[in-house]
Amino acid sequence: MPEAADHIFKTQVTESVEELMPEYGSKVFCVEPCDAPEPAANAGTMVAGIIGFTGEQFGGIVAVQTSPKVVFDTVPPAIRSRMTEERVVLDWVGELANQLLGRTKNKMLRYSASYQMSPPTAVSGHELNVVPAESSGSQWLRIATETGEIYLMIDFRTEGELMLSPSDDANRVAAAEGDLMLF
Amino acid sequence: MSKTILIVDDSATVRQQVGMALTQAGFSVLEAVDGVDGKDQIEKNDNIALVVCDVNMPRMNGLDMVQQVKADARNEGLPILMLTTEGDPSLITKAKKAGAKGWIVKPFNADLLVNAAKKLTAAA
Repeated sequence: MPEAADHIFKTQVTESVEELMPEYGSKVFCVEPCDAPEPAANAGTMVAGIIGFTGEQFGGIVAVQTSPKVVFDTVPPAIRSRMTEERVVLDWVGELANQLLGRTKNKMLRYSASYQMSPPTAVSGHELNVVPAESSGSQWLRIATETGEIYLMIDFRTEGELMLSPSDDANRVAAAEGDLMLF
Repeated sequence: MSKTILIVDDSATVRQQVGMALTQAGFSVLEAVDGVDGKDQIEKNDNIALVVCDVNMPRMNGLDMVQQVKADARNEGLPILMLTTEGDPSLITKAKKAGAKGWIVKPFNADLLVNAAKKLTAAA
């Protein structure tokens, strides 16, 4: 049965974050819709990994916004001391956004909906406020994890109403995370 | 003498992760930050035994880099292993046709990566 594409996308992003964070040692307790976090309420520096995507009939942005400590605690331990903390946090929050959107992309293949991803961008600042160009379509999720709170902004835009259905096409089944194929 | 592996990824943390796994297995590593840098490194270093390459990168993506590197006959025997978040079968097919020898979907398992590196560098 066809469903609205933005609802499907949000569901897949939610599943993806629930799977991804434990891969890096941070159990997810819950994911819930929320209002955009108030910048003035952010204590100290915040960081965000921002990544864009474009498909034939849709596109948008996903942003991962949280404290540097939450990001640092998910960096593979053996790597933490190899770079300055600031550098590794900014690099890794971008990579987390990349892996989150990539995992979501693999799930969206089931609905015959593919997209290209931009390289991620990372930003940091006091009273950080990630705002899409036209904010009416964006949604925020609060993710409570073992290492702290993460805010996820999903800005999904379509040309008119877009409905998607799952596909039976075997070519629409993505390779799984961790899979290795030698040709 | 240890074999040299070129790691091409725009994430410094990923390059460190991959590099650590490979150096602990006895390989030497070089790093490149995107496809343009990767292609330059391959042209400058004729002792590279394997390339581990991301797909989505600025300036030049990994699939374009594979096509351009493999267009040079000198690189016919150079194995390239893609390491990426992408799992789309059509992209995997595209990489295979371009001359890549393998595909790993992130997050990667270090043991699988090292075993693949050993297999691909032994065959080279």
